[in-house]
Amino acid sequence: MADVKKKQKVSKNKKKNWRKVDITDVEEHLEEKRLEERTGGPAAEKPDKSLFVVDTVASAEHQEVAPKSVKSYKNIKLQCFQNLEPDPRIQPAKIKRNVRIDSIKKKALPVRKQLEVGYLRPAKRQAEQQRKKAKVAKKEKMEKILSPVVATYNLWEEDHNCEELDEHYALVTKKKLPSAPSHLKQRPSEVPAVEVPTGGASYNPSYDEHQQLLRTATHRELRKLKQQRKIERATTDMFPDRRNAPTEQTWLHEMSEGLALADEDVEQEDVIADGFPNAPVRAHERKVRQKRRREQQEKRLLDKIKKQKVDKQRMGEIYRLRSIRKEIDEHEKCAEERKQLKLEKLAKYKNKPKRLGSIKYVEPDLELKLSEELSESLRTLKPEGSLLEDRFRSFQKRCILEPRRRQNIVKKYKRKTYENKTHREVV
Amino acid sequence: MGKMKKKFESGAATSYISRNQALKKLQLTLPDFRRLCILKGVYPHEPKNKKRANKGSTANKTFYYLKDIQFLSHEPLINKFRQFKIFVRRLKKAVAKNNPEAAARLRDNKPLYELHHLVKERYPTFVDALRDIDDALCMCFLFATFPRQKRVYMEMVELCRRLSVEFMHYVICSKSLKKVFVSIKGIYYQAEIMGQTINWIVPHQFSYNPPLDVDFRIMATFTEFYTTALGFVNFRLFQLLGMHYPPNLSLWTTIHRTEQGEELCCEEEVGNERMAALNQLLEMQTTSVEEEEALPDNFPLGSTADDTSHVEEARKEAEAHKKLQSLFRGLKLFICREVPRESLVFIVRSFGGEISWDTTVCIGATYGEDEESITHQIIDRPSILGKQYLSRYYVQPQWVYDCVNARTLLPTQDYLPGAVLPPHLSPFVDEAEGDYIPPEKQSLLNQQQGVDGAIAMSRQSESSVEDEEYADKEERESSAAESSDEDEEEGKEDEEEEEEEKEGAETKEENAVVTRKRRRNSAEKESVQKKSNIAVEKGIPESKAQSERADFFSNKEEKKLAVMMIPRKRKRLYEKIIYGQKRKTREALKLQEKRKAHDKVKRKQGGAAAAE
Repeated sequence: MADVKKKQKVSKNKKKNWRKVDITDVEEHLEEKRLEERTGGPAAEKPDKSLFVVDTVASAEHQEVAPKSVKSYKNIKLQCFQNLEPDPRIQPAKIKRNVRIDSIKKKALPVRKQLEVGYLRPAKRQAEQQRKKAKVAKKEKMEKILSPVVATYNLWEEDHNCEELDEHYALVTKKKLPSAPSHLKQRPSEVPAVEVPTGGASYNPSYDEHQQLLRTATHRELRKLKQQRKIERATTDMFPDRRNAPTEQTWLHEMSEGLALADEDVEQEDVIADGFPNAPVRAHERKVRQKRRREQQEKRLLDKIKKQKVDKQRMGEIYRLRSIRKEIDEHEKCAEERKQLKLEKLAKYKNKPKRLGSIKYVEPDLELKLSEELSESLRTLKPEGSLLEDRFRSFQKRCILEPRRRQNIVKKYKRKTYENKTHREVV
Repeated sequence: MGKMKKKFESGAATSYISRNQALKKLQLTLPDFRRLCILKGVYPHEPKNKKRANKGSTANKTFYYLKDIQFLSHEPLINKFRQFKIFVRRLKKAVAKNNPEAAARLRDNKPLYELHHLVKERYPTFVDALRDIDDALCMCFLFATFPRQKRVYMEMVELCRRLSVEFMHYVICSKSLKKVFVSIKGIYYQAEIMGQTINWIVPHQFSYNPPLDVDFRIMATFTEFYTTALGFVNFRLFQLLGMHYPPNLSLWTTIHRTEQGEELCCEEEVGNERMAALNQLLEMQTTSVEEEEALPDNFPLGSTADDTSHVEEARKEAEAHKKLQSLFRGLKLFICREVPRESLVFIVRSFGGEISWDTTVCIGATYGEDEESITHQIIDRPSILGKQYLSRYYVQPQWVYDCVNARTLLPTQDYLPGAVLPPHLSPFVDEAEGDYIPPEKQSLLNQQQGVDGAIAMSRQSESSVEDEEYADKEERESSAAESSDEDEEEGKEDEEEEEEEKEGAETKEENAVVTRKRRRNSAEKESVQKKSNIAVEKGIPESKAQSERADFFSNKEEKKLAVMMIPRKRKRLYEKIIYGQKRKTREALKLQEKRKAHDKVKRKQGGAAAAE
């Protein structure tokens, strides 16, 4: 009863409120009545025959169901294949009958074929030819890059091309390079390119030679150790270790060293009074002006005498020209000798590696095999050292390369690290 | 009054330039500058006065000559370097922007440079280039052995291999190899080409270990230049020999094919391999090569005796070399698989021998192991495996090397498989007068001079009993020798030599001091034993050197007088020299003593082992 509307209570004495009265049920009833009148009177008054029909056909439920054949199943059209069926609304394609087939065909051909058939227009043909040429050139170039470099002519044969040109013109156009400085032709060092090791480095050395090699290697090693020891002595050994490190007490003691302590006071003063380095000048010791003047006069006189003596000597030297010549000769000879000595000294150091940079050349260790390492046959020989390094050191020794230390790449800035909050590490 | 001079405006300060200044002047980066310097052959210099060159500072810097740097600035290669720099920049950009088309286009137009003009500039004549070829050969032979790796371009390695093989072919054809030395580092070779002595080193097989502190970029730059230079040198050498360059093999056999007729490998590769096998003749450019016997001309020399002796010496040397060139002629060698093939083939073929190997070892074998005409088989195993042929000698590889250095075919007894080898001596050592010469080398030298070639042969058959006898005797002698003075010893030696020549057998019982005489003595003893039966005495060849020495000492008096006549000024120098010589002999004697002791211990050990 909940859905039935409550009747609105309205006072009906006023015409205005009459509209608020619900009259739908009355109107519905009247409408029904009118419909009945239009359709031939109310149904209650009509005869049964006009209202009902006797059903003579059996309904689907009561009919007997016939078994479905396999064929019928097959004929069922699936919804999904519907698209495949011809759509009658679509018009069949129209084939043009009146078109020039050859041109189309040619257009469809690859350009290379088109060129053969002769279909292309001149401009296109030219472009195509250029393209072809470029392709060949590129191929040639690539071949040149990839192919092994083979000398194909005698480099030292005389060719006079450059000489025909004007000197200035050739230089300016860089057809001829300026002549190299003469010292470029000199070797920087007389050390041979390939230094053959001594017989001790043979794979099967004689006893003596091997011992000799071992001895030299030992000497070198000892010298190296000695040098290292020297450096240590001058550096680490200079500083106390932890046990002998200075304490507060020792520091105090050291700092107060030489300070006048209470009992030493008297002695110290005596010493100072006696031997003062610059004792003050007393009044009576001061020089008088007269004394100074006399001293100066004396000095001048002495100078004069000295000068006269020298002059006289010089005048006399004209008589000893021969001996002077001799002296000069001797001097020159001496100089020559010294020069020779210097040259000898230079020659001695000529083959020594020079200082070519901040790092000094260090002779690499001798390659050797210890007595027990020597192999019995060539088959079991294990090579010693690296030849590449040997070559590298040789270049350095011959002053062709400056000795260098391997440079490690140092990052200029420290990398910043962030933690992504969404992927925080689980602790 | 003249203009006041300012400091560092002339002299050393202006003739040197530091490396950083040079970089600024040439507007190059350091790697590019390094490359340019290496290619142009411009090296840093140590100024005579560092402080002056460095404008008052004594910091150690790398200095170049200013003129060198000015010369460098004219090099057209600098422009190429700059182009390459831009190329790299553009390529990087294209790749970073994911623009493959642009990158491909740039790659196609990569700037290239050639170094021909630099070779010509640095080596104005062919001989100049030959003089400096040592480095090039070393680098090429070294780079040729490098495995595929990131730091080195494979093309460079292949090029190096090709060039080194070509050079070896040249040496084989021209027969210019002279010395070989197998050291623990690698194999040293010496050849003489057009009067230039050329040394180079070849690494052992499989010996690559990358060093840590070697700048590969620098070494690659060196190799880049040297390959270009070696290419042209090879061309010229081949041309001079009348051979085709690039070399072609004279015989070309068909490529291995499968049963279906497919090629097993690429034709070019097979060609390269065959070339590298070093076992085939190369094609000659001219069909008829006039083989000129370049004999030294026999000028009637009427000049000084010194000059004639010089010529005589040269002729002798040439004859010896000619003999050496055909050292292995007529020999047919076969090498087993454990032996370093390339080195042996190179040596044997350059001394006129024939060589082959098993077909499974390498391409290019010419005959198999079952060939009956093989004279020597080189084997490096303790014993012979498989079938042993009686018609050939089985020797260890060292035999070949030692034969070359001895300049004769050595007896094979010492080099049988499994035998303890005689030491491999360095042929590069030249002993001065008074230096210690190990007994092995001494015997070899004697053999070369033809003093006791027969004796050396007989030495092989020495019985161990005799050896022991000698050991005992030596003990006695050494104790006697220790007491005697050094000078006396020297005198004894001389006496001994003279006496030996005169009397032979008896003297050696008394005062044989030096070990190196031991071998000869033993032989002489043998001959004495035979003397009892045969009336005819066996002649002992007199060595020329010894007779000369004897002459020298017979004139001892004269020498003494000459010494007395030396002025005081030069006397000191003379004394110094004599002192040095004496020191040398003392050291040599010490070594001899040591050697004697070592030999004795060894012999005892050997005896003990034999007794067991």
